[in-house]
Amino acid sequence: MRLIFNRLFSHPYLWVNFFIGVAFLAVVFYSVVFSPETGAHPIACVYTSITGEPCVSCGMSRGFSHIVRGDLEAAAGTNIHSIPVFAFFVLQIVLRSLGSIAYLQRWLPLSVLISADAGISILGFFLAFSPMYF
Amino acid sequence: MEEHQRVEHTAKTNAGQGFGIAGLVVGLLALILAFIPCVGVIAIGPGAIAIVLSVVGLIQANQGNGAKGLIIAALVVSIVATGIAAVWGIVIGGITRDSHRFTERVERMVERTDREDLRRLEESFRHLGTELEKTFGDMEDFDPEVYEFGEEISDEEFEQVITEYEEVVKELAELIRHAENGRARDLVLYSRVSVRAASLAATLIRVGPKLTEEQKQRFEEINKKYEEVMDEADI
Repeated sequence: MRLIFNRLFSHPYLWVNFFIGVAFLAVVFYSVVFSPETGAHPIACVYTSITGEPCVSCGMSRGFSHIVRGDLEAAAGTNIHSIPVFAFFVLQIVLRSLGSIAYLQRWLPLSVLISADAGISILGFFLAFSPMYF
Repeated sequence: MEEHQRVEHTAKTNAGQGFGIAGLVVGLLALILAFIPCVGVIAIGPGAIAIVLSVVGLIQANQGNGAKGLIIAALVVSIVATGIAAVWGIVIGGITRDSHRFTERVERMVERTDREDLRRLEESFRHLGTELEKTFGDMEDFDPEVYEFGEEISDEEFEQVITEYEEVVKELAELIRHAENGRARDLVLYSRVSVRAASLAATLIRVGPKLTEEQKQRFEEINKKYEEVMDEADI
């Protein structure tokens, strides 16, 4: 058991993958637990609560909850940006898992693996978040 | 030389790596959080924590000859995340401060408005109401059927109608020239005068066939002057 643990966390890249992956899984779990209909998501919009104005990401949590329930139309209606942002989160879960497996199986040299991972992540991040700003 | 490089390479330890990993993870999450407007400002917290973790990792790496690549990456990501979150803080703070300033300005204006201003305002509204009543009265009196189409009109009656028409059109032209002052009571006055002008024009058109060439020319001249004013005003 200890041997498996040591192997799974033998490199900082694997640690980073593990914790980032768990964080994004927590977002998915959060979306599953809270129903979009009740609107009882505990994380309120800080921007709106301070300024009184709605912001571009308002309704995103409810949008995520619609997505995990397969209702993309309702998600787009709640917040159109929720779909690309959620897709980015899912991409991250996939990348963290694949990256870890690729490292352990030595599919690619570490420098190539990390560069490819970072490149895909940055591109995905830009595609998902840029429509909110540009 | 090669031996020296090999010894230096193998001498690198894991010192500070734990803090570096923690700093990178928290920093990356703070960075993503910072780009979500709803919670962007909250990223200041994890961003600051990530900076602290990274700095501790860097100190440990320096003391224990640890690898610094990951720790420096963690520090950079954390600083960027905290910077973006701070921008959100400044933006939200600015909006809040502006809205407070606006509220204070309105409150001061209300305080400054004394009884005399309120009396003037009330009088202005009353005047507006009177003008509107007159306009509606004129609209009810609008009766172009006084003369049948083609009916003859005496010279005295024509003189009376055309003189009043000329005065009304002059008043309209004056109102149009000063339209940019944007006074509501002028708008009401314009409506009232327009109704009167339309009534007189309808009368003159009805008696038109029996008018002399001179009388027709006078009517056309008045209309031409009004059109010129309208053209000047670009209406």
